[in-house]
Amino acid sequence: MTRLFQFLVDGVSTGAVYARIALGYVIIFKASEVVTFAHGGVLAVGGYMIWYARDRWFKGGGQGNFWLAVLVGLLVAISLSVVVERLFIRRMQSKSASIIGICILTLGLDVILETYSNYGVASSGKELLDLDNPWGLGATSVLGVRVSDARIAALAIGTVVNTALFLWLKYTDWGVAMRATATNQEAAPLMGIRLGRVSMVAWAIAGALATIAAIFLSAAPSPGFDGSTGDWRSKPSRQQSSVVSTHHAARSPVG
Amino acid sequence: MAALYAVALYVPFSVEQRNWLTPLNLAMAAAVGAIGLNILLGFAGQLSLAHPFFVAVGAYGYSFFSSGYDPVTRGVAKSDRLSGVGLHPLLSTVVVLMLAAVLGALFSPIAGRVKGIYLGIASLGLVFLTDHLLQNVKGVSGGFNGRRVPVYDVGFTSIEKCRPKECIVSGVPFGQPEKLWYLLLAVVTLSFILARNMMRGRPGRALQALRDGETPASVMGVNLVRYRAAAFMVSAMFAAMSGVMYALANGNITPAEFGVDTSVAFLAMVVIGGLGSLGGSIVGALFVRILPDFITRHGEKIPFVAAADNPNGLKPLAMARFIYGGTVIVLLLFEDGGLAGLLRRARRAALRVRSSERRVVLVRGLAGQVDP
Repeated sequence: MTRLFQFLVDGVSTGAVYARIALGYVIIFKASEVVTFAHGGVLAVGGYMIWYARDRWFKGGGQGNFWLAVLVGLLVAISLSVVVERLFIRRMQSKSASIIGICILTLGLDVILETYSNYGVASSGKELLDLDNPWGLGATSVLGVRVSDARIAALAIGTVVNTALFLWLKYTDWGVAMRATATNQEAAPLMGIRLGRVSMVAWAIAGALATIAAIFLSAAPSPGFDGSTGDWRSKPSRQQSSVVSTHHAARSPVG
Repeated sequence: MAALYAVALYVPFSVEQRNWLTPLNLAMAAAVGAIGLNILLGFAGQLSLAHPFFVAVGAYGYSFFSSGYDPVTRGVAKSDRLSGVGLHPLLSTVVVLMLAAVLGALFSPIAGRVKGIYLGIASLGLVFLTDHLLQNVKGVSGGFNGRRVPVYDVGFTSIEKCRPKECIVSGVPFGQPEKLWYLLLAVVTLSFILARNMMRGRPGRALQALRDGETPASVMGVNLVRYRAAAFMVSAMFAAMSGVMYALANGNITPAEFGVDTSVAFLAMVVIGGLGSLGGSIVGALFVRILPDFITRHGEKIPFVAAADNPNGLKPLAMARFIYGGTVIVLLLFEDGGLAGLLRRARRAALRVRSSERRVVLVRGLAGQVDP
C-alpha cells in the first residue's frame, strides 16, 4: 500500500513536469500554429543558464541565491523565446511560408540550442551539473512513506504554476485574448486582439514553463543537469499526444 | 555535374584524397537516403522524421540476412550469439528493400492520411520504436553493442581485402575502402537516375501537385492517399538502401547511430542541398557528413574549435552541428532552393536572359515562392 502511494506520488509529480512541457508546446501551437521542435532546446538552454548563474554569480547561500539563479534562467529563456518568435517565426510567416518550412526551421534551432547546451555542460568539465536546489536529495516521510523531497517540490511548485496559469488564462485580459486566439485565429483580430502580441506572450510563457520544467527534470530521477536533459527522448511523446489531441479537440490551451 | 563525377571517379587515385575515403563512403550512403527523403519532403511535401527507422531496417536487415551463423565467439555464451540467415549479399539486399517496402506499406494508413506536419510527429514515434527494438531484440541486433557487418564478397565486385601486390591499379593499392567507393558510387548513380526519372514522369508530377495544393490535385485526379503512401514507401526503400550501404561502409552498426540526431541530419542534408533538387541532396549529404571530419582535420585554422584533448572549446561534431543547424535556418529564411537554388540564381544572373529550357520541375520553396 505504501508502495502504491510512493508510485503515485512519483508518477504524478513526473507527470506534472512533463505536462508543463507539453503545455508549452500546446500554447505555442495554438497561438502561432507552429509545432516547435525547438522547445527541448529552449529547455536545455534555460536549465543550463540556471546552473551557470548559480555557479558563477550566486554561489553558495541558501534558498535566496537559488531562486535568483532561477530568475536569471527564466529571463534568458523568455528572451530567447521572444527573439525566436520575432526574428524567425514572424519572418517566415510574413513570407507565408509553409508550416513545414517553419517547423524545419525550429528543428535547426533546436540543433543549435542543444549543441550549445551540451557544449556548456562539456566545458564545465563535469558530467552532471548540480543545480544546488534547496530540496537537495533529502526525503521526508509522508504518511509513513519515504518520498523524495524533490518530487514533493515538483508537485507543489507544479501545482502552483499550473493553477496560476489557468487562473491567468481565465480571468485576465491577456488570458482571454490568448484563449480567443486559440479558439479562432481569424476572428480574434476582428475583436481587437493583436495577434503579434499574443504570439509573443505565448512563446514567452512557453519558454518560462520549459525552464521551470528543467529545474525538476534535473532534480529527479537523476540529480543534476546533463547533456540529455533537453533531449528528445522523453519530450516528444508528450508533445505528440498533447498536440494531436488538442488539435482534434479544438479547445483552448487549458484543454 | 559531369565535372564532379570525373573528380569522384578519380578520388582513390589521389593519395591526398584517400584519407577521406571512409567519410566519403559514409557520405555516399547518406546521399541515397537524402535522395529518398527529398522525394518525400521536396516533391511530396510531407515531413517525415522516420528515416532512421528504415535506414536501420536496411542496415540491420542486411547484416541479419547475409551473415551466416555469426561466429562472434571467444567466450561469448551461446545465447548471446547473433543469428543470421546466410543469404547471398545481393539477394539479401533485395530482401531488405522488400522488407522496407512492406514496413512502409504497414505505416501507410498513417502516412497516407496524416498531413504534413502531423506526419512528422507521428513518424517520431517510429524513431523511438527503432531505438527500443534495437536495444531489446538482442538475438538479431546485438543489443547495445551492435553487430558486425559481413564483408561484401560477390564475385568480381567483391571488396574483400586483397593481399598486397595483388591488386595494384596504376600504382595505387586497391584495398577495401577503394573498392567500396566505386561500388557505392555506382549505387548512388543508379539511385539518382532512378529517382530523377521517377520525378520527371507522372508520379513526380502527381507528388508535386499534391504538395502544392490538395484540392486542385484531387480535382485533377490525383489519389491523395495512395500517392502519399506511395511516396512514403519509396522513400523508405531508398532509406533502406542507404542503410545497407552504411552498414557496408561502416563495418559495424550500433543502435546509437539511428536516433533522432540522424533524422535531423537527413533533413538538414535535404534542405541544404535544396528541396526538389536530387543532385542537391547528394551535395547536401556530402556537406553534412564531411563537415565534422573536415573540421577535425583543419581544426587549428577554425576559431573556437579545440584540439581533440582540449576540453575548452568546441568539439568538431558540435561545431559541425552549429554550422549545419545555422545553415538550415539561414537558408530557410533567405534562399529556399538550398544550394541548388543558389546555383540557379547565379546561373541566371550570369546569363541574364530567360532560360529557354523548359523546366519540368517547379520547386516551390518552403517559404512560398515558386522558383521555375
